[in-house]
Amino acid sequence: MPSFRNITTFARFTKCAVNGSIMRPSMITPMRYATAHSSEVVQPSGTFLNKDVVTERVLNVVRRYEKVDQSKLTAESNFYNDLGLDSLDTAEVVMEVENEFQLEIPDEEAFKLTSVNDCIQYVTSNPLAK
Amino acid sequence: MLTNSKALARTIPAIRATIQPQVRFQSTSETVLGLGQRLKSIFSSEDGPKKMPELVQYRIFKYDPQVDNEPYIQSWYLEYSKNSPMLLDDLFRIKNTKDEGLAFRRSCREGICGSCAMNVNGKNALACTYKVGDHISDVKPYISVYPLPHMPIVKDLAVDMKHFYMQYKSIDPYLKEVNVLDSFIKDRINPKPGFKHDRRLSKFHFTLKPHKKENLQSKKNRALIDGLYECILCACCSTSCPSYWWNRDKYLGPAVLLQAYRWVVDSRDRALKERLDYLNDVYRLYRCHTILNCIKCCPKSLSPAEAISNIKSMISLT
Amino acid sequence: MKPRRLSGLQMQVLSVYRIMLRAAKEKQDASISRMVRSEFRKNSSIPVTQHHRIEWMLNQSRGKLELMQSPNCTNVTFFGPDN
Repeated sequence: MPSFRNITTFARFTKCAVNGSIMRPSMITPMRYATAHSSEVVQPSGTFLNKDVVTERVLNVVRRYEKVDQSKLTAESNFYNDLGLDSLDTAEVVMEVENEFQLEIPDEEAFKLTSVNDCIQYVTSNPLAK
Repeated sequence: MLTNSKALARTIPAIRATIQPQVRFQSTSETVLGLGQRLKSIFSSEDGPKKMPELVQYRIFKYDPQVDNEPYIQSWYLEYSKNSPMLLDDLFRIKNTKDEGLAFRRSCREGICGSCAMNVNGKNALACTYKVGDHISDVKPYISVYPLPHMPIVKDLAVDMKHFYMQYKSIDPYLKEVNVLDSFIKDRINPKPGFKHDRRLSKFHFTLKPHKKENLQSKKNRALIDGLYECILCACCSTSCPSYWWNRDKYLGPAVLLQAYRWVVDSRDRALKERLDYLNDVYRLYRCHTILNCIKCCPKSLSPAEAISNIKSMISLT
Repeated sequence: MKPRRLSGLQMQVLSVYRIMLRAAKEKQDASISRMVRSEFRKNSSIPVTQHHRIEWMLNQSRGKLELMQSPNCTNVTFFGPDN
């Protein structure tokens, strides 16, 4: 096996040397470099919103949703356990929060927001929130 | 880039000459079948003709997502009949006499439309060219029929081919001329400094003129697309490829790559560089790991693996 | 309090749901959005063990989503076992 491997690598190098301009898949820049770079560029010098204001606005959004029990709603309440919402309702509430702050939360982040507090945390730490 | 494409167009015959003899995959199914035939002839001379069962069991995959909670296998027994040799005939017998709700696609019943591709006894095949008599015996009197593996099911044996067709669309399966016109006109309008009028080159330009009548092709060039144009896009090869199962969203799959190669080697097509640039991608082309399931199951005995290998060599040589 | 862990299938469904609601909002016709919500709500009663059926519906809804995202589309109808 080792000898076989040596032969193949040797063959590859000679091939490379003969035709200098071989474009092999390994030479193509991986995607993640490109995305990391672009996110740095996009990063604005935005300001973070005040936590009290955000709390009030998030609570307002959640209160507007018809299935929420008003009496149980606090800044600490969990969508599933305290407010009795299911995952579809939660997705809708999170989308309402997105609309309120003019954000577009990526799916992976959105699925992690399971309580009012999570939403507040996310919005206050996001400089793009308005 | 334009001059590049011209230089490339000029070197295609040379490239082809280097590629063609290098890679030749033997179709394993043919060799195995040949061996089987020989063995059969040896044994039949001793034991008489192969003994056929009276009843054949058909185990057919059934799943109607609107009604059934789970997919299930339904089995039917049919008398073995020499008069309906192909699997498709038996599927029709089942549909007409036993189970009217059975869904499968079919059109031409002679292996040219590629609609009735399904997984029969664990191998992808066209039902209309699948001879039942060759695959059953009195010790193994059953045929199991499943839809194409790893495709979203619509109902029973009909699968959703949308993604496959979109991939086929992505390789632009038609003759392209745009690049030629561009380069032709551009070179005429601003010739490069130090450009010497070469008679051979002007002849070359002449051949690249936009075609007013027919787009002709020599017999030699026509022979290059033999074994490629026969593909009927039944998706047997793509759905038998493990690499395609795993990276369906990014890897084009053997059938589409075979077609891509068909347009790459066509001498009438002028967008060679564009096509190779599109294919030169870690996922689109280089997910082929020469598993060769595509060759083994192709109902038209083509070899997509050879085409893929040739595309790879072409990309490395240009 | 332990956060709830979603299955991969649930994530796919929710992801399609979110994109669909966004697409419906751009149509400026509240009935589409209402229909999407009621359709997902109705099918949310399918037991999680019937993942074949859920995957099939997911596939169907992706087709519908593509249809919905085209600018010429004005309305979408869902076909299911109950309608």
